[in-house]
Amino acid sequence: MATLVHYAPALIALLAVVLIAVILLRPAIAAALGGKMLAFVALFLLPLLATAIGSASHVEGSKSTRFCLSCHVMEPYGKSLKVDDDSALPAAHYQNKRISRDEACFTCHTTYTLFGDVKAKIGGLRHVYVYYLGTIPKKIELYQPYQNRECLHCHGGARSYEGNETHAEVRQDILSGKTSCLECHDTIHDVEHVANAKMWNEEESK
Amino acid sequence: MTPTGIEGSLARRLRLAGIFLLVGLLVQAATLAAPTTPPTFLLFALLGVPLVLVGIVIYLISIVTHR
Repeated sequence: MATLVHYAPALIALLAVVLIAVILLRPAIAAALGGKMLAFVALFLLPLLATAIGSASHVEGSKSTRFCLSCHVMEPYGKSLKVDDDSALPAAHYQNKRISRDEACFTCHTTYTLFGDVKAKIGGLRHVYVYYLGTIPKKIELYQPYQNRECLHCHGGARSYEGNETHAEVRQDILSGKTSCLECHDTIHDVEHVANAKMWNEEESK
Repeated sequence: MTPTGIEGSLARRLRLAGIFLLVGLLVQAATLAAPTTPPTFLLFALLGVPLVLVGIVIYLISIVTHR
């Protein structure tokens, strides 16, 4: 069933292809009322439906960790999720399943590139263009400073966060963005040292 | 009227729309059958979608202008 749902957008597109092929081979059928209706379905409704569902499917697929790490330049970031270091924030979240491993990048970067608004999506397409046809910058940086809302959409309201005295002292500053969560929790993707870092062995820990 | 039962110009436009849609939908289906990666996403967004939209527009124009 899951497989059928997965391939549903492609199957709708193929159904439209078959109906269009019928009209291309026998355009005379469009002269009758039934043929007109078939043409409307095949040349308008189904293609529109296939495009809409297909777009949603691809955007959903672009949330996957595999999608992000399929670019060579993101490899060190992928490796940084597996360093054997409790203080490394992304690694601790990934290894302890505080976030979905299948959507690890998206969970903490919800406004980034293809996941964000239209402007962000255009930026995401630009990334793909630069990756294949342009010059990749040596150091990759976020367009904007990391926003606290990315942390608070999970930690906000959580006992471990709300009950922490240090957090209580700066709660308003955290909410307003005056104080960044990363000022204290500052071990993020340490991509410069990841090549020599000790890695977590997922198989051994099972 | 042509032997097909519909006017030649309408048949031509329908055929043209059909070809755009056919190619566009095949591109879309191919990218959807494979796992989403940046190249498949780009192919879908920059080739599949525009071809389908052009086909739809040609079809709509053909039925609106047809008497």
